[in-house]
Amino acid sequence: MTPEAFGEAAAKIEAELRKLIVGQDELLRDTLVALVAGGNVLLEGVPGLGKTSLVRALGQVLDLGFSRVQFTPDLMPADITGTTVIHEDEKGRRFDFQPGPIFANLVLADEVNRATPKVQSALLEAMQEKTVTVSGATRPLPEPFFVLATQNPIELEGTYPLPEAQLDRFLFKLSVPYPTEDELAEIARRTTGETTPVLTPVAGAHEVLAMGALARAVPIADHVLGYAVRLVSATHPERSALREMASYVRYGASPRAVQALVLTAKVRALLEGRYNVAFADIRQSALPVMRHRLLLKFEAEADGVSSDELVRRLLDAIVADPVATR
Amino acid sequence: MNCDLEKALAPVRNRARRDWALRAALWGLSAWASGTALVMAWSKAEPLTGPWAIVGVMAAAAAFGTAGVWARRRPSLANVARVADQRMALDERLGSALSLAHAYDGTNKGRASVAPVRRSGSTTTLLGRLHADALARAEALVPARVFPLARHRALGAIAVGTTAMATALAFTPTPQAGALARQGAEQAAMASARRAIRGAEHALGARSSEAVAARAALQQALARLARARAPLAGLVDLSPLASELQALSTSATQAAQDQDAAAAAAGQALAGAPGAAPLASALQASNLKAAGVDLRALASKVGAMSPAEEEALGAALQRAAAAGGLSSSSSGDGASAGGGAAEPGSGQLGAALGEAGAALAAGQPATASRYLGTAAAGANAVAGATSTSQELAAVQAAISNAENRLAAQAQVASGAGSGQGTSSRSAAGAGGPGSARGLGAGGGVQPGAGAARGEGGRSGTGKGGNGGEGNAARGAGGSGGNGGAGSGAGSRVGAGEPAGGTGGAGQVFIGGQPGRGEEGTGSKLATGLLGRTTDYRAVLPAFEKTALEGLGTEVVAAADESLVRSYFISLGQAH
Repeated sequence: MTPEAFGEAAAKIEAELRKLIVGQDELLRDTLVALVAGGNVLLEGVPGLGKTSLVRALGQVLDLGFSRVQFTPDLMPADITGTTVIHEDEKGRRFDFQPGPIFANLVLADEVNRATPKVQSALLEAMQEKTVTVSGATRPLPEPFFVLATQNPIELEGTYPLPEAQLDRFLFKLSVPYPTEDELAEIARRTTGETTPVLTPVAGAHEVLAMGALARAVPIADHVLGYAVRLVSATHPERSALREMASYVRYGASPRAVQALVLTAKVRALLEGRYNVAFADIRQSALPVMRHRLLLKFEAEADGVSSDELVRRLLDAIVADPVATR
Repeated sequence: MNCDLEKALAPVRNRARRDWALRAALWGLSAWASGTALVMAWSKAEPLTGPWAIVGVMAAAAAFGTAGVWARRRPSLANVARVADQRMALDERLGSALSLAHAYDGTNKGRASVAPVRRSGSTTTLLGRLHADALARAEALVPARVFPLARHRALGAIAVGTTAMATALAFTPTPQAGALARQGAEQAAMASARRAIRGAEHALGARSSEAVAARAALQQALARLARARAPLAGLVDLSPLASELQALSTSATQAAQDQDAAAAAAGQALAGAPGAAPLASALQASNLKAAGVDLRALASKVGAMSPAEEEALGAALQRAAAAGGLSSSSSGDGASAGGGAAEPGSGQLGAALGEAGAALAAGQPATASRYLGTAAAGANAVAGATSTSQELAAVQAAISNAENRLAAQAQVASGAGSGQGTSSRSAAGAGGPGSARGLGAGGGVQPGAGAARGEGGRSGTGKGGNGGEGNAARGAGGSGGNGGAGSGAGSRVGAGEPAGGTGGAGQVFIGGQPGRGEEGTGSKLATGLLGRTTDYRAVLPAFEKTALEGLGTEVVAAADESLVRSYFISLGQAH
C-alpha cells in the first residue's frame, strides 16, 4: 500500500462513519488510529453518547466480522471464548469446539466493567496474544482482531473495575464527550426522519492490515523518539522532576505506553500526509495512551486531580525539543 | 550522503552560525560592559590601581570567552534543521530527514545496531518520500526568516545599555584623579630624592674622614627615606642629613683653610732658598699637587748642591716645617695646629720636610733626597684631601635640591589634602588670633651653658649644652612655647606668628620665649582644640628651614649657626 492509498482509505472510512456519527471528530480519528495500529480501545462515556453505535458502524464500514458481547455479572468466560460441545453424527459422538463471539474481527465488549474479573481476564489472552486457549487447545483469532470495550463511568454499583493488567492492554482509552447543541440537533435530524443512514463497507481486513503494515514502516527520528521516551519516563514518580507526579502517581506508565505512543504517532503521521513522526503526533496520542496507565494515589482522588490533568501537565512541562528551543 | 539536503540547508546553517556568533558577541559585550561599568563605578568610589588595565583584561577575557563559547556551541546542521522545523512549523521533517539519512542512503553509518537491519519496501518508499519532502521544504526556506535579527532585540538592548552606562561612567570625572596624580608626583619626588642621594654617595670620591662620615650619613638617610611614604615624611627623614653634611662640610672647609694657610706659610719660609723657588711658589699658591712635583724635582737636585746651598736649603726646610705647622710634632694624632681635623698627608709632609732639612744641615743630601720624596707623597695626599670640601659642597647642593623638590611636593599635598597651607615666614610678634585649624610651633634657642631639659607648651626639647626651646601652641590665640633651660642672653630663632584667622591658613611658627632655666616643664597650653594635632616631625623640616634662613639676620646671629644645626641634628636623632 502506498501512502496515498493509505490516505484515501482512511478518508473513506472516516467519511462513511460520519454518515452515522455526528461530531466526535477526535473520537473518530482516535478510533481509526487505534484500529490501524492494531490496538484495542476502551471507550468510556455516559450512556447514550453513541459508543455502541460507533463500534457497530465501524464493523459495517470495514466489512469485518463483528460480534457484540453484553457484559453482565452472570456472564461466563465460555460465553465469550466458546466451549467444546458433544457433536453426534453418522460417525459417532465427538467433541467439537464451538467458537464464542470473540472469534470475530471486531468485538464489542459492551459495559465491560459489569462482568466479573474472571470473565474480564478471559479477554487478556485474546487482547494481547490474539489467541484463545480452550480445553488445552490454543486457537488463533482472525486477523485483524480488535476489542472495543465500553464502560459507563457513573453507574459504578455492581461493577468490577478493570484490573491494571487488562487496562494496560488497551491501546487507547477514549472518553466520549457529550455532543454540542448543534451536534444534538443534527443527531435528531438524522435519526428521526423517514430515512436512516445506510453504511456501506469501504475497506476490508486486507486493507486494514496493509494500512497497519505501512504505518509501522514510517520512520521516526531519534529526537522524536526521545520525546516519547521522556514523556513516559516522566510519569514515574521516582524518575520525574515534576512535583505532581511524585505527589499523585503511585505507578507510572508501562513500556507498552511507549510502544503505543510511537505506533499511533506513526499512524497519525500518515493520516496527516507526512512521512515522518512529528512531536505533534506524539502529543496527540499522549492522553489516550497514558490516561489509563497511571495508577494514582489516594491524594490525587482527595485533591480531585485526574489522570487526564496530570498528563496535560506533563505535556506542558516536558519540552519537545530542547535543542530547538534554546 | 544526503548531499543535496545538506547543500539546501547550507545557507540556513551559515545564517545560524552568524546568528549564534552575533548572540555570543552580544552576550560577551554585555558581560564586558557590565564589568567595565562596575570597575568604573568602583574607581569613582575609591582609588583603584589600573582600572583601564582591568578593563583591558576583561575585554580580552570576554573576547576569548565569546570565541570559545561560539566554537564550542556553534550549531550543527542537525540542530539547525531542528530549529528550522520548530520555527517554520515543518513538523520535524528536516530534522527527521537528516537524522534518518543513514537509513535513506543505506550506510547505517554511526549507528550501533544490535540487530541486522531489515528494511521493507515500504520503509524505503517512505524514507525516499521523506527525503524529497524535506529537500523541497529546505530549498524553500528563507534563512533570514528562520534566524531573524529581531530575536536579538532584547539582548542587543541590554548590550547597548550596559555599554552606554560603562562609557558614561568612564568619562565621568573621577574624584580620585587628583589624588592619584598627586600620589604619583609624590612617588616621583621620593624616587628623585633617593636617586639624588645615591648620586651624591657615588660622587664622594675622597677618602677623608669627612667623606667617610658623609657617606655613612647618606646611607642612613637613604635607608630612612626608603621607609618614608610621603614627601613630608621624606623631608623629615632628610633633615638630619643636611645638618650632618653641613657640619662635615664646615669641618672639611676649616681643615682645608688651615692647610692652605700652613702651605702658604711654608712657601713663604722657603722663598729664597736655593733651588726651592718653584716649590715656594706652589706652596704659596696652595697648589699642593704642584708642590709634590716640585718636591720630587728638588729631591733630585740636592745631590748636586754645594755644602752652602745644602745648609741654606736645610734651614729653609726646617723653617717651612715649623712655620706652616707642618712639623712632625703635629702628625701624631692627625690634628692640625688650627684645631681642625688634619688630613692624613699633612703630618707626613711636615715631618718629611723637617727631616729633610735636618739631613741637609747634617750634610746628608742622600737622606734629604729620600725625605723630600716622602714629602712629595705627603703633599699629594694632602692635595687629594683638600677636594673633600668641594665634594661635600656638591653633595649638599644635590641634597638641597632633593629637599626642595620634596618640600614643594609636600606643600602641594598638604594644601590639597587638608586645606592647610604651610607658612614658612618668619616674623616676630606675639600671639594673635589664630585659626582654629592653625598649628603653632615656636622655638627659642639661646646660647649658653645649660643642662636642663625643657618642656615647652607641647613638646619642646632643650638640648643640654646649648639651649632650650619650646614649641607648639595651637588653635586660636595660641602662644609660643617657653624656652627650656638656659642662661644668658640669646636671640630667638624661628620667630613666627599665628596664622591669620582665615580657613586654610596652615602651619605657622611662633617665636618662643627665652627660657628662664627653672621653667623646665609644663608651661602654657593654648586653648582652642578644634584643630587636629600634627606630629612635630611633620613641621620640623620647615621649621629648620626657617631657622636656617634666619641665620645672619637680626633674629639669629651667624655665630649661632653651629648651635642651630646641632639642635636640629639632635631632634632628627631623637625621632
